[in-house]
Amino acid sequence: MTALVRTELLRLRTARSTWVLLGTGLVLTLAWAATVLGNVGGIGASVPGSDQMRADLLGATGIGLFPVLVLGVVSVTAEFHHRTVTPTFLVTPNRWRVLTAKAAAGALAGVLVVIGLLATVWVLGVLADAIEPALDTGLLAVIGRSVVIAACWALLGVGVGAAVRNQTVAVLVPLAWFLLVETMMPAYGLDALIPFLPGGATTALAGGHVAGALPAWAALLVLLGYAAILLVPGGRAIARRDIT
Amino acid sequence: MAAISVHGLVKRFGGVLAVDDLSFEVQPGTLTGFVGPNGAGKTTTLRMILGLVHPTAGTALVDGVPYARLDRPARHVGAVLESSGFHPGRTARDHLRLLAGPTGIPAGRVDEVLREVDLAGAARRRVGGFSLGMRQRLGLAGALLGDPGILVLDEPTNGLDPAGVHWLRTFLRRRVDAGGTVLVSSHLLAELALAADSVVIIKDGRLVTQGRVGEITGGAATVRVRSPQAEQLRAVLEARGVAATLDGPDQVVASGVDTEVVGRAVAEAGLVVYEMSADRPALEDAFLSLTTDEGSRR
Repeated sequence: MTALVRTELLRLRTARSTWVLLGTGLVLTLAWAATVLGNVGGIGASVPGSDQMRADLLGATGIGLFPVLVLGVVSVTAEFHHRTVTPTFLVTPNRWRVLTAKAAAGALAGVLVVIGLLATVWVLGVLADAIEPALDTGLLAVIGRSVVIAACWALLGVGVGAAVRNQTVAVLVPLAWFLLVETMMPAYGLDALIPFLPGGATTALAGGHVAGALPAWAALLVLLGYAAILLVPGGRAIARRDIT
Repeated sequence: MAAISVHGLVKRFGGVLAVDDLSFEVQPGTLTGFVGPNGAGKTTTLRMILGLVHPTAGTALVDGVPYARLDRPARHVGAVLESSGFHPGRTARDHLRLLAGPTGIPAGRVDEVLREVDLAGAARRRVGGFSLGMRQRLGLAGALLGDPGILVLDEPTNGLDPAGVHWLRTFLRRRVDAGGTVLVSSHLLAELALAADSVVIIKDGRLVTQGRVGEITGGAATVRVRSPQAEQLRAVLEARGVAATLDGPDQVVASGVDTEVVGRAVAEAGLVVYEMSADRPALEDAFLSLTTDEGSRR
């Protein structure tokens, strides 16, 4: 299994799309962080050096979750899109093992990406005198939560990639879900559902504010549940599929 | 034990019966041609042997077990399949490293197979810029990674120029001579006739015939002899019970014999011969007559 995961990490590293996605994530995160820093002293802005300021700034890395999710999606769909799935399954005929390796590699990559983004924003915040250069428990908690969320989103991505055959649809559906469907819920009076949806559970896990938010452990279970709901039927479909 | 054995294999895609109760064996140490017209079910059969397509019924075994149950299959079988993909943005070397990884094949072997297929110079170029012939060779390099005893190739000559076809034929022949087993599909028999030991001919998903090339073309050939004593030779052959006719003043055509029989008769009668040749019915003709007969019977 180690060799398979290592191969999947190599597959990610050697695809240009990976670096384009990560570059996009970095630019979006920096733009968000710059907005927070630019707002210092403005109305409703947090006080530099406060825990809230740090949370606001590091929260900018949340936008980096989208590239992590898409990376997971593409790690599966690209195999079918470019027909590399034929040699992949020739070398490893157990398709569940391939999917498991992709999930593990995606989660690992997601964790590394989010740690990289957190470190970048933290250094930026320190240089701008908005964050105290201290490694306290509060910071470690933020890192811990972010890492778990990133791993979950990578798993969600791999799950969507397994469940949805078409690459374009598989990329657009989760983006539309988080950016449109969940944000529109309150407009239809469906607020009560939000804590149980992937976006609501992510916010709860991040320690953000959601009405009726689940405790962190329950939110984590909700996220893993969605990943499983996608991965298991998706994996079964892939295992049954004729690779022609 | 057969290197590859296919037993009662059936594949139905929706309402289409692509492979219909197909059985054949590939003996180790042979180059076997897998031939049939386009759409005969060759690709589907090969993909079932390789565990990529699930049979509706029947079994396909490689070294005695289903492909999916082989331990590190790349060490047993190397496959070059049509429309087997390459990520256009990856380099040839990275493509192979991804195939080598799960089997634990070292990077040194990647460079070795690249040299073997004459792609060492293009190792760090993106596959997107490769010609069809280069992609075919890269596919072959991938199949060779695990140094497998069996090679399976689906229409490998597509996109190759005549020099490429010759190169491939020599390459495969050399592998078989070194003890390897090769199963190669083609809709063009002529490309294989020169190299194959035996052929499996299918049409409409069913086996038409399987056998050694000589058996299928029919051992009985005609022998054409040019001699200034043509009439005497004809008489000598007839006396031995060989059907022989004169073709012009200086040529005899003997049918149903091989050159050995004719040669011996010539020597014993002390005749002069300028030229002798055997006309074997070409494999292509045999293939055409077999597959068309099959068609007209239905």
